[in-house]
Amino acid sequence: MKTLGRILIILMVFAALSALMVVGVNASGVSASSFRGEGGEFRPGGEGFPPGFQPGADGNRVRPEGFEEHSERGEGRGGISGLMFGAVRNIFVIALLVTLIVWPRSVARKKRKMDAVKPAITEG
Amino acid sequence: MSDEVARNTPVQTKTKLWLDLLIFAAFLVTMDPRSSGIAIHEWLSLAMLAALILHLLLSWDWIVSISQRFLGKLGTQNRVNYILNWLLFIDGTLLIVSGVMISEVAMPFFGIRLPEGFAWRRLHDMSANLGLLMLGLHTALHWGWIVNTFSRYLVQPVVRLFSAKQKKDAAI
Ligand code: HEM
Ligand code: HEM
Repeated sequence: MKTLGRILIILMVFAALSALMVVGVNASGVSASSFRGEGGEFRPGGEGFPPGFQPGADGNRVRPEGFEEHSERGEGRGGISGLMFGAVRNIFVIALLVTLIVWPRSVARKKRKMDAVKPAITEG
Repeated sequence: MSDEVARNTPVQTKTKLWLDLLIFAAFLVTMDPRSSGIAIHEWLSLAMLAALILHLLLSWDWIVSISQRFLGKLGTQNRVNYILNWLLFIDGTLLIVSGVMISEVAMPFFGIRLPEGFAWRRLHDMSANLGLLMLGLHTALHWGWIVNTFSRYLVQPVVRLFSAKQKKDAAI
């Protein structure tokens, strides 16, 4: 019962934040399908398609650059080697952040310990 | 977790360790939808929501305790963790909401079709990258816990197992 209440609290906060986000994005107007990104990026639903473009047709899906259909089937940069590439890049980012934060802290802690020991030695 | 909050039992700590490893691995897979494919990406990230709820339930005492003391006297580490955890929660919500808005597999499966909106794609991409950075910070701030728990519940039992076997072999 207690756990159920806690789950409900988490879900309620999640739902409230979600509602705020949907309202916020809709109110800002950028979610309109005719949205144009910087550099006049083209998206379907805009004022016109380039000649030969059929929205929704194969090869004309709206994807960020490099997100190609065939990758989903494990070809190209997909598959095991692709997974390795993406995962290695992301693990590298996390490892870099961990090193940048943990290492200076551990050096500072060691220095503090040494400083605490030094007076004891000179006093002795 | 800090000493300012009641400690977990060994079973809870072990559960946390395995759950966190699972969420971490799932996050890495969802961060690369080009390799996994959109279907795995969508279903796995929706399933992660349940795992994250469990993650929060296992730290519930800490959340309540720090929420009550946030405006009063509180150590810097706990304060920073608390703010970062809220930012992670907000970013995670944006990630899932924007994901649902651009869903190509999960929502159509439930018969839900949402209007195309390029802004949601941008937000999804942005919140995913931000999530990666914040997860890096979250991991760094819990590095001590990760190393200790890994050592106590994974490395040491394996080492003990081998040394016991060596002793037994030597006795024979
Ligand atoms: C990929 C996702 C995540 C992973 C791998 C992860 C991992 C961890 C680890 C290893 C700990 C240390 C366990 C402890 O001190 O008891 C922890 C604690 C915690 N995490 Fe996460 N976490 C993730 C996402 C999140 C998110 C999205 C939130 C959002 C609110 C969150 C909130 C917390 C809280 C409240 C604690 C305990 C309090 C503290 O910060 O010391 N975590 N997490
Ligand atoms: C932990 C949660 C999630 C993470 C870390 C995540 C991460 C990502 C990333 C990094 C991309 C690639 C974006 C790009 O290359 O520009 C992406 C794309 C995508 N995600 Fe997610 N995502 C999550 C949750 C979801 C959910 C819950 C859904 C839907 C139910 C979803 C649906 C999609 C779709 C449809 C795309 C492809 C967008 C496109 O074709 O342009 N995602 N996601």
